[in-house]
Amino acid sequence: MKNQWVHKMTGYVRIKITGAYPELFINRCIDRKMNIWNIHYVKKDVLICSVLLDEVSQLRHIAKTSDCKIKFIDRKGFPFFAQKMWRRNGLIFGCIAFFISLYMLSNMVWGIEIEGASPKVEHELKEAVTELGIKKGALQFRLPPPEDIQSIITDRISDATWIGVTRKGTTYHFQVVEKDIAEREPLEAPGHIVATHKAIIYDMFVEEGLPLVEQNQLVEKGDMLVSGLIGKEGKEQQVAAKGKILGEMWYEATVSVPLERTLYAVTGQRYRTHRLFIGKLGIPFWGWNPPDYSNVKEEKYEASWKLFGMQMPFYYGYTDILEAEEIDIDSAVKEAVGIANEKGKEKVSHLFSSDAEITGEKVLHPTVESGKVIVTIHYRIVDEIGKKQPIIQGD
Amino acid sequence: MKQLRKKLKRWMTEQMDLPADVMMDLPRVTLIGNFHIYIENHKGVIRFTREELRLRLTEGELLVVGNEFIIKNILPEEILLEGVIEDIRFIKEGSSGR
Repeated sequence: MKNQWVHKMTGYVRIKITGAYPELFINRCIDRKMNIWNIHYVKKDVLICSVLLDEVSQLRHIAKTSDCKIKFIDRKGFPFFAQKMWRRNGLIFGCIAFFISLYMLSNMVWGIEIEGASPKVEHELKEAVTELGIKKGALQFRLPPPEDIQSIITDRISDATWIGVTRKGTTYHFQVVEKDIAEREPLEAPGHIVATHKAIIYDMFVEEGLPLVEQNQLVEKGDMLVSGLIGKEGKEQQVAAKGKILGEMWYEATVSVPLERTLYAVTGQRYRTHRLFIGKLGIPFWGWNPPDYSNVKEEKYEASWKLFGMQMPFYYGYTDILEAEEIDIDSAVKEAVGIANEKGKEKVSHLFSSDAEITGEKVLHPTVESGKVIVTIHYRIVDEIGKKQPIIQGD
Repeated sequence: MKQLRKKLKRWMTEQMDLPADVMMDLPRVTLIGNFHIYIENHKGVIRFTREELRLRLTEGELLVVGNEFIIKNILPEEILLEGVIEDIRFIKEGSSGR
């Protein structure tokens, strides 16, 4: 038995057989080895069956010999479907045109992105690329592959070390690495390095010049640390002394912190009472029994409800009752010293460079005076102390 | 002569253990439930209505009775019938059938 879809491909017709003995017609068809299927009995002497389109030409003859009349009632299968579709060929052409245009448009260049190039190089690159035919609306399959574009363009643009070309969909992406000629450091005038502070040399690293001090040596402000004169005595050569000299310094900071600030501390226990305000009048509506705290701190919140930019006459607010704890004077002072320490550090860091490092700090005895804690802190700071000083001729 | 050949065939089938439908040109009927009937080795349609299919065989006729009959496919020696099958009957040559 053949598959049904074979019939559908080649096309078939439904025919109505009318005659005194339609079975004879069917037998004749079978004898001729014709394909005939789906035979329905309609009423007496009338049958409906399906016949292949190729074999329709034989039907008339068979009908004549078997004394039957045949009538075509339906046409099915691909040939008839195609015919039907052809009548609406506008639709088919539209579909084809759509797919062609979709394919063409998705194979066009729609964007050129240049990254990492200076305006001059970008302009040059744009010109070179346009010359190659890469511009908006160009068809991609008429352009050389990205690798070839890359080699051509890298050759042409001398200001770029490397140009990477990638194609992402409809966009060409150029990544430019420009030649970066390293600038020479300007020649420095010959000079010495002198100390800016009184300090103990903590560490030193001399690149150029003759070091005159040693580690752990005490230097005064203005002392020469590294000499810019090198070579034998009498035949000295002038160079720009260069190096990093770290010195340890001392600094005493005095900080005063008001004591009141630290007297109370909230414990974390809180109670909230809610109020609805009408005008200035507050009507409590929730939170009736605030607990009995020995020390209390209150925080108020009032919402402002606005409607079309107008302040509403009623609004909501709440009051937080926070339990507070008195801190005894000793711990208050301790806390104040902590605060002072922070303040002192801040104060010190302003005076030195950003590379300065605090290596040690010592709190001298804090004194309480009219509600203020005065703390003196002794800092040990390591910082760069070298400063360039030009050699003056004849010095 | 014809009788003799028939006897010979029958004897061969019995002795040599050969399938009867091949040797003796008998119909082979396959039933799938009561809605498909597949008949091989028929010799043509005598009568087909919605309730009845009558086939010519080498010897006699085959009558299938039921409802909603449709001949799904028909080839020179095979036929596939679809519908509600109620009865299958062999009718000897010469008899009226019903």
